[in-house]
Amino acid sequence: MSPHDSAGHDLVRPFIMTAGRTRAERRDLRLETMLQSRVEQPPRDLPSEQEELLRLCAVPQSIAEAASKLGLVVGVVQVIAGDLIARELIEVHHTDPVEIELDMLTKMIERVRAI
Amino acid sequence: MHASQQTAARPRIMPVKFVVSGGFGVGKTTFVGAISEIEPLRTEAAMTTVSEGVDDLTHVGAKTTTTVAMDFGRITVDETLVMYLFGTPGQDRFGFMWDDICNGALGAVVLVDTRRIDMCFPAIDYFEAKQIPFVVGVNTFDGAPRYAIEEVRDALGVAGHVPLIECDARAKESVKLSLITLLESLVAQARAREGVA
Repeated sequence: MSPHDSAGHDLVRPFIMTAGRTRAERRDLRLETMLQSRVEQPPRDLPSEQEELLRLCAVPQSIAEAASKLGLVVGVVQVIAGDLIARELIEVHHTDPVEIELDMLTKMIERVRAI
Repeated sequence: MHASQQTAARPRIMPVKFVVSGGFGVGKTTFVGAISEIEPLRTEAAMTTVSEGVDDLTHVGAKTTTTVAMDFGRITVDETLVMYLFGTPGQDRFGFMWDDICNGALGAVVLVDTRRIDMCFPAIDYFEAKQIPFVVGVNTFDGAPRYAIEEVRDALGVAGHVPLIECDARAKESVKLSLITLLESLVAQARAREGVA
């Protein structure tokens, strides 16, 4: 915990973490885009914020979930994820609505019924 | 198994996004919480915006960064299929975020409060313009006037193919039914496209 955390959002810290970049490397990183680590152990030279995200994504989860758990705004997670994607350390899962087929809709209906 | 650093390609996972929308205070977060398998999470998006003088409550000068909270939930169907539900921010002044939230959404639920019917108009206009399929859930608040569903349809001016149902965001079964209605309308559309209706 940095001393700034209690004071709300520290806008300097994310700026440093992303080395001043404000755009994700990959424009297809949406809120629901899921990230999954491709490695058992993070490489030793990883910056801590990349390592943190990579470890978290040992369990596949969305950008939004990761942001929430890491206490970071979505845009920052997108940038960090972009770095991990560039190094092929993380796998990206996303879906275009046109890819959704009938059997998937049926599965979703069954799942919601069972809640 | 080879001994390379990277593990073999994993099976594809398909995240599917749904949006829950409607006016401020209509029950979007309650809706998400009623069926999410996780406690609804809150994430924040920092947006850099041109101050348009709408932030009257916070006289902090030329504020250019707004942090908007988004609540969302998750329903895991199986190892390869995950549903996410995102609530849109309620206030109009966060409308600029809608593209970020709604881009790629499979469908939406628009919640309507019959005491403030006009508050859902921006949501309906948005989904119609973006051609995102949606259902309208008429939220039945205690003390709210109860109208026949077709009266509400007339007031909203939505097309006949848009399903309208009563929805109590506090009741799990009611929320489930809303989502199932949306999914079934998607099934019907898919069948119609394939010509097997």
